[in-house]
Amino acid sequence: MPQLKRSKGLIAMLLLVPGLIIILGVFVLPMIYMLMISLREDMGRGAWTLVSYAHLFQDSYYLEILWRTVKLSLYTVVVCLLLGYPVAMYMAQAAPKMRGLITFLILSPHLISVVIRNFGWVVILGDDGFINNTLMSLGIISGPLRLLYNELGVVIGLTDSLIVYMVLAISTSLYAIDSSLYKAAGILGASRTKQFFSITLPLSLPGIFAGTTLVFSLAMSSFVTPALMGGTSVKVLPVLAYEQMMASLDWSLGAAIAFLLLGSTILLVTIFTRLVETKRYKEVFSS
Amino acid sequence: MTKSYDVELHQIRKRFGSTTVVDNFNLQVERGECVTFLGPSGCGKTTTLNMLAGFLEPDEGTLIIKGKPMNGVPANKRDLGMVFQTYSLFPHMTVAENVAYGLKLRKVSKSEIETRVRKVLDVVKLPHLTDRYPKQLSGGQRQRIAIARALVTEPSLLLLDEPLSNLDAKLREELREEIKRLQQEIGVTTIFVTHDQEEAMYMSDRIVVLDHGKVEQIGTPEDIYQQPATAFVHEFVGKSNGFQAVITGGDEHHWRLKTTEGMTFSAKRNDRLYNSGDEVSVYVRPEYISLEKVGSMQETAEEAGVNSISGTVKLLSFLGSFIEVIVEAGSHIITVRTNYSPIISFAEGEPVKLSWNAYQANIFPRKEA
Ligand SMILES: Nc1ncnc2c1ncn2[C@@H]1O[C@H](COP(=O)(O)OP(=O)(O)O)[C@@H](O)[C@H]1O
Ligand SMILES: [Mg+2]
Repeated sequence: MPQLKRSKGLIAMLLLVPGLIIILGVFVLPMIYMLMISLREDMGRGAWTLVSYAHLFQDSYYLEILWRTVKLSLYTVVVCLLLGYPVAMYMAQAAPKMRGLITFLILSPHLISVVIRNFGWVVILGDDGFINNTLMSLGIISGPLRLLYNELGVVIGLTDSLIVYMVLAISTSLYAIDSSLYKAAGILGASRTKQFFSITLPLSLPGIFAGTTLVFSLAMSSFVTPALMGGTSVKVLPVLAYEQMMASLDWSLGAAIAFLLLGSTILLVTIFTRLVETKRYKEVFSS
Repeated sequence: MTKSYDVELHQIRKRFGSTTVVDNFNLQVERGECVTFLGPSGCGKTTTLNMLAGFLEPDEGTLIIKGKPMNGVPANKRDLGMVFQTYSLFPHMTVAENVAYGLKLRKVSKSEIETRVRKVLDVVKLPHLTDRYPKQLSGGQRQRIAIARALVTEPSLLLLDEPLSNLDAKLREELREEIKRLQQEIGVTTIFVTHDQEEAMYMSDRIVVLDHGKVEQIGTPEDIYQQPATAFVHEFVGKSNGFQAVITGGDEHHWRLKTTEGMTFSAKRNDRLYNSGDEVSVYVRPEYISLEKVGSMQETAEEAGVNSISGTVKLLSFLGSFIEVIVEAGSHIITVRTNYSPIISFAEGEPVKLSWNAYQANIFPRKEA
């Protein structure tokens, strides 16, 4: 019997091998190579040096862009949360068929390339776009509103791409709430509003936290949307890293920027997790 | 003086789509009474309870609690206590917070909340669990906490929807005893829902037997058992031997009838009148049938008002305080329950004589197929 168990374990290990090779080949190795490029001269082959990192921390320009990247990601998280929560609530209490339909609807934009979706936004949000034309023809505004090529445009674009993660994460945790809890709360005297704040919201925290972490990390590393919707004036770290490598051909600085982005994302997510996972939270939600 | 009732249901009706789930439900519950809704799964017990609680609105009829009409009043304004089959404790709150929930909503002062929570946890005998979370408790403990949470607000009416159905047999008996004791001590008017007839008998002052959304009978446990109003009640509550028969005649005390298998019986006369040729169902409880060995000394002579038939023992089951004997008599299979006695023992295959008094046979019009 123990022999059988060991051979089962062996089979499981063997089944993991192809996946591990792919992760190693396309993810881990390039990362190590990038780290070398950022830490050594001559495309990762020369002498060890911290000159690229020193550059990043000495020039406030880079830190300002880091701050902007973080700020826009936070805005996106907040907007996704505020817009996504009601959708998630609706989904969680809808009949299975309806839930399937909504899932499809919020996923369907992702069937289209993000580049094309962003051009769609340009048509809607531009100076001569749908929104400005409508508002101007109604006489509500005299000149076009600036909805694009600024921070607002980036947040709109990022929300469009990322809200689906927030909605799915929250609806999953809402769906897991036993509906008899609402009956119990109601009979004890809680109005709908009180039920929301004392039952729904606290019990959906795992979904909110998962959605927040996902949306934040993905917003931090977004490249296409900030590039297309923010234009040249709203630069973020991923765009900057791309420019350093492709335009300035400073691969070492570009790689250092990439690691600055990675490091700050990990740091912020870790701090966030530490803050929200209080003793009580762990006791209630850990299985 | 007219009696005042804590709960009054007048011609309550509820439909889901085209199916009527609760039909013409009438009931009055006195202060301090414990009334059970008993019936098979799907008969409308929970639906009725949900209308009392305010989770559902009746389509027709009036619902009065403590003299106040409740139609249209939402659950949170009804001041009731409720216990659910699945406990329904708030998983993110400690035991103390769960129990305090209703008091906080009523803006009771902090110090009073503390006193009342401690007191009610003493009452359910779990004073030491205040800081635990529900998932750290056993099923029995959870249900006790749920009961404490329902009682702490001193509700005008306590509703329990199959509160014991998720517990194992031993715990179920323990907890039902405790609920009964609490109910009597506190004197809270209680409506208890169950599909378990023994539980219903044990708990209630009165039982409402339901089938397909219709009230079949309302009565004390004894009434329900001894004087079932309908064939359904006779079959659902307790064990019964049922026979299909035709009326052949009768006198002022008895009906004479003949089973479809050709045996003749007599059954006691009740209010209902029958004509010769009417198709009826006759029921006899297993414990009212006496069992004798054929040719034994005690064999009783035929007498008026006693039905007797002979048969063969098919199966014997020892069930502790009694034995259950399955007897084949002609084409009837009859279940008999008799006190266990080490002196008179029966063997499978043995010929026996069964007899029962005519007044212990209940007769009902044949159910529509
Ligand atoms: N929300 C609903 N929609 C449609 N049918 C329902 C609904 N709730 C209950 N029913 C039906 O009503 C009947 C009675 O249900 P219920 O009151 O829960 O029965 P019980 O509690 O006696 O088992 C069942 O046939 C059930 O399928
Ligand atoms: Mg039910």
